[in-house]
Amino acid sequence: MERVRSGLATIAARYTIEVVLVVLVIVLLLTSSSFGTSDNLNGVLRQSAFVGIGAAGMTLLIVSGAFDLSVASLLAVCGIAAGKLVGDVGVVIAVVAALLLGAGLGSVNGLIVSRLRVPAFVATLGTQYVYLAIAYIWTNNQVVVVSNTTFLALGAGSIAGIPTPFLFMIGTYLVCWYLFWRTRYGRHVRAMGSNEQASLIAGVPLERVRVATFALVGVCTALAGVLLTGLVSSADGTVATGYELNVIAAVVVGGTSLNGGRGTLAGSFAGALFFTLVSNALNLYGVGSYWQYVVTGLVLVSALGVEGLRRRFWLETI
Amino acid sequence: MPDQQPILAAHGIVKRFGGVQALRGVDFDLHASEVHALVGENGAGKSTLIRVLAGLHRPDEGTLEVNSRSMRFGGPLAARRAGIGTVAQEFTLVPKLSVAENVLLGHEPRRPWRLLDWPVMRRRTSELLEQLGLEIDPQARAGSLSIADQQLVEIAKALSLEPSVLIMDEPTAALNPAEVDRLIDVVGALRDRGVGVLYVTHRLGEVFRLADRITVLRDGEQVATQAAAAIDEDELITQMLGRELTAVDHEPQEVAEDRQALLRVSELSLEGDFSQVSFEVRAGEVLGIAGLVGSGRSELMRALFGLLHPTAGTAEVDATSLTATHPRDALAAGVFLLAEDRKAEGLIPDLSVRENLFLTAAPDDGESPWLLRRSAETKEYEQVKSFLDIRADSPEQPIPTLSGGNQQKVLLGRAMASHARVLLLSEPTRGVDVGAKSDIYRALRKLAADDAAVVVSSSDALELSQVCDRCLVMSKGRAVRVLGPAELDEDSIVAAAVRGRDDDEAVDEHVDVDKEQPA
Amino acid sequence: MSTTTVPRSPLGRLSVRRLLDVLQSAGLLAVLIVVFVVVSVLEPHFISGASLKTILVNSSQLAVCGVGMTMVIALRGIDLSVGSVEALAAVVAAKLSSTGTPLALAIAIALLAGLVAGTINGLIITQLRVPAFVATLGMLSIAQGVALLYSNGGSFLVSDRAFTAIGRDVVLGVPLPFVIALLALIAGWVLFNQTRFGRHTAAAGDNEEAAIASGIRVRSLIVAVFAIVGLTAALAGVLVTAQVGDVDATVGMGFELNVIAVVVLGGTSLAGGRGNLPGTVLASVLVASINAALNILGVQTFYQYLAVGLLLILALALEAFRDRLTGSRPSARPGV
Repeated sequence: MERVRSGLATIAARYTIEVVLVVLVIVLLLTSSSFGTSDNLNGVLRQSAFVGIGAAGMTLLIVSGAFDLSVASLLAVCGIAAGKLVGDVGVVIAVVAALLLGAGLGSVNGLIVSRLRVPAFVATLGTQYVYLAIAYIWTNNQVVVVSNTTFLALGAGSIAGIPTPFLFMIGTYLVCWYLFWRTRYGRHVRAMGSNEQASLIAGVPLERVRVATFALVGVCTALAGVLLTGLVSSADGTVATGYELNVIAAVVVGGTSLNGGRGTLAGSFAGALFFTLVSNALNLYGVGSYWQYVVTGLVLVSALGVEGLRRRFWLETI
Repeated sequence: MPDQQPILAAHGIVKRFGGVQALRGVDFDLHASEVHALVGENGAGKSTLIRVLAGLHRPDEGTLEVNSRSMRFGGPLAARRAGIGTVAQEFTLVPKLSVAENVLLGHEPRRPWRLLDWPVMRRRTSELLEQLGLEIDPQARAGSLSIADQQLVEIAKALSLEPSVLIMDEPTAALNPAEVDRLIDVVGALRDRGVGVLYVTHRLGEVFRLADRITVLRDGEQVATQAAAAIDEDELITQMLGRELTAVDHEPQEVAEDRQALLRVSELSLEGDFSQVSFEVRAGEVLGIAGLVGSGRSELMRALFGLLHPTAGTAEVDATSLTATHPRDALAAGVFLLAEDRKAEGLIPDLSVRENLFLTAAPDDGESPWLLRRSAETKEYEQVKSFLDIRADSPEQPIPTLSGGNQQKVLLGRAMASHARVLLLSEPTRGVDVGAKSDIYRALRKLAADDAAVVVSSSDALELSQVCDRCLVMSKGRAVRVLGPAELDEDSIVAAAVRGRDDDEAVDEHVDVDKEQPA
Repeated sequence: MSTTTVPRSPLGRLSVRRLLDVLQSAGLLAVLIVVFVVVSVLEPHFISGASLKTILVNSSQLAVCGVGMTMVIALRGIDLSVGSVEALAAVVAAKLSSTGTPLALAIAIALLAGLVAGTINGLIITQLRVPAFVATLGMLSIAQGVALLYSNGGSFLVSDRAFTAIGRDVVLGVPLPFVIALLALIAGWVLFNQTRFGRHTAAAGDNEEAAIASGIRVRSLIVAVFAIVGLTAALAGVLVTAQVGDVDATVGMGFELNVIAVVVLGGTSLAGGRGNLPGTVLASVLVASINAALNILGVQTFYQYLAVGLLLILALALEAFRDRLTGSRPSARPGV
């Protein structure tokens, strides 16, 4: 009995966010009649994909010891690129171009951080402004409207009943998981975030890893931008204001440490779902959107506060 | 002369961390005008005991009396108010603040309106520094001072509260012999002024120079407390280890002339650090590099590895020119560096033992450069583990759970897994206790026998005499002498390191040897 | 036996470090002068009294909050909630004032709101052990929600003449909001450089273990510093209300990133331990000048983003270069 209890406690500690997620789903299923409808569930899955996909790349970046605050503008620029091109070159090329652009802008971030030795936090604060300016200038401050039905289906459609963006999210996480745990690159990412100087001496190619990881964030964000553009059938500079904070919140709530070196992709996946569920729950319960701000903030703080308290008071026993 | 009543008396101190008992009922007392040394292997409990006395840990059991008054274990502030000052191993200086701000940190003098009184601060700081024989500008930025000076500023900081007890934890770890002498004088002067000094060190020579009494801890237990005059070094070591120290079974030998020189360094210079250094190391040979702190030997190692860029001279590995501008160049040429500070520059704390070991290993021919090959790694891990005698329960264990000696062996394993043939090792037994040291020496000899060229840079002359075949001695950036197998003993190494080049100006330091000189 | 020791490099003296800070500010000043010269050649109105007054007024909110943020960053923390707190204070002051509350009381309550929000941030960080980044990110959301709830999504027109006078009055030729900013600068400078509190803040930011070991109560320090930046954010909100006269809960969007930008531009390192308060104020003026310059030249607003972004990157590349010169560590992640 003792073993079972301590085993459960360990699982709860390591998979906190997943457990909370499951509990939340159960509570919602039991207490809200509209939660369990396929419409609603699909909506949740669809909605969580945008932050979720961005969070996959961001997880690796945070584990490697850096931040990217420019993703909101980066997403906007790539969405605009796809939206503008799709009319001329078709869906496939437009999407690929957007992803390449994402990789490129991400690499610029990476180069500024590793070549110019500018701290990631502030470097991407700067590029956030620059990319936002590019978005405005490119669209001449007007909204780009997209009508290509295949493209719209990427964001708004479903395959076999599952929203397409969510399928993309699963695919993204599988790829990222593989990169993180099964490749030398992933090992280098974790080493860099844990002890950069020791990694240098061990021969880890720091600059390459850094640029590659920023590029990965760029690609993930670009994908999210393409899908979002498809969903809302339009693109402009402010489509994703606050995106960077939502993505980082999902990663952090998922259990990845801001210090780097350790991280969990499953946690970020659950974190993205979690925030979307909270927002959905508040909607279903008729909580006004203003209160949603308050609740989301409280949830974020509590999620980490509980972890902090646990480490503070229970470390002796666990 | 020690007074009758101790100024500090601790009884029955017990401290547990999780399941581990760090202290099992230790008694300790200290008199005024006394230096009481605390010795023991790593993990014996020395750090824990002083952290308890300094108020950083609360013990599970035990009592404390300061100046005959019973005291409760409060925090660091309470300890300081009771008159216990501490100079810890980790520096507690704030690098960006000035010396004066550091020395008086926490109790800065104030003018009306709660504003800081800078003139008074500068004056008090200068006074305290003068007592230690220093003339440092109180407005200098603390981070810009040499390590030795920072140490003395730390002491000034501890003294600024006028303690009756001063705890010093490994104060000479980063000092050269001249600076050690200066520190020993300072401690002696403090003792004469009535302060009781608790002196923790690994260096037994200092113990016998300074201490009035010696307490030995082993495995959290107090093994002995005795007058320093009543014991000698060998007995002390026996008390510390619980057994006699067996000598390392090794004779320095001349490696056969026809073995190729794997590493050839010619007139290598790095302006400001070392100049015109030349030497060769053959496969199968262990070359030592001796020298005081500041002799340039650590910079030499780092330059060979690509962390620093030489301004002149050449280096060759296996007859191919080596111009390493980055560690990756050096590793590609088969050169591996084990840096001095394994915590800062060696281990990756969030990775497992296996991942640390294989971090540098490049993919073999035919292997994918992308994917990790888990089963191949596991097999190779077992081989390396038995070769180096690494003690770890599982390769997936987080590396911080290993002891210092085993961590160092994992880093040597990293060298093996990377197929490096030239191994540059800086202070390979730093922070490794006596028992594990001989393990490491054995491992080094095995690696050399396995056809590697091993270079060991160390401040421990005894260690060099035991593990090397030849020894290059550096002083003030120049290569001063090469000692062959026949001349390879501790005294010769130290003498050469201190004496320096014959054409240098006379150095006004006396030779410090860890043994009593005949009168 | 006495040893004279000189710091290893001449760059080691504290006075030289201060000189570098001055140079950084001089660099900002140089850019400022260039901007003025270039723009006034193209558009002579730029140098006019009215234009200069507008610049100073517009820079005040950044400067005021920047003073608080400088101290937080010197403590090696970060506050992402200042935008929402500014908005909260703005709507509180505006709503109270426009419903008849005496001006002084309305302003006091608004400032109190900021103080409380900041204190809560500090408590979350110290008691729940939540990293500052996340704690203030949460507060950003919470304060925004409270601001929206309090204002019910609407906007408030300030009719109290005395209130708008704060935004319009001039003292000895200098607009009152900027005078307030200068007063904040002086108070902040004295607090940070001449009191135990300030020196302990710098110490805790540079080496927290050392500060704790020296008996400094770092937790109380953290709460106090975050309370201060909350207060300055609220003050910025009051100033914005006084200047603009018509505010709603969105008034602070993006403010936090602008404030962090001017602190960094001003020469304060994210690694903590130091703070360049005059630099922050100077950088605020610079950013306001650039915005005004682009406005008057008819350049579209989004180019301002470009300008600020590039300026930020340039300034940081210079700082990294300078850090390497003086042998400091490059800055690590903030607010963790």
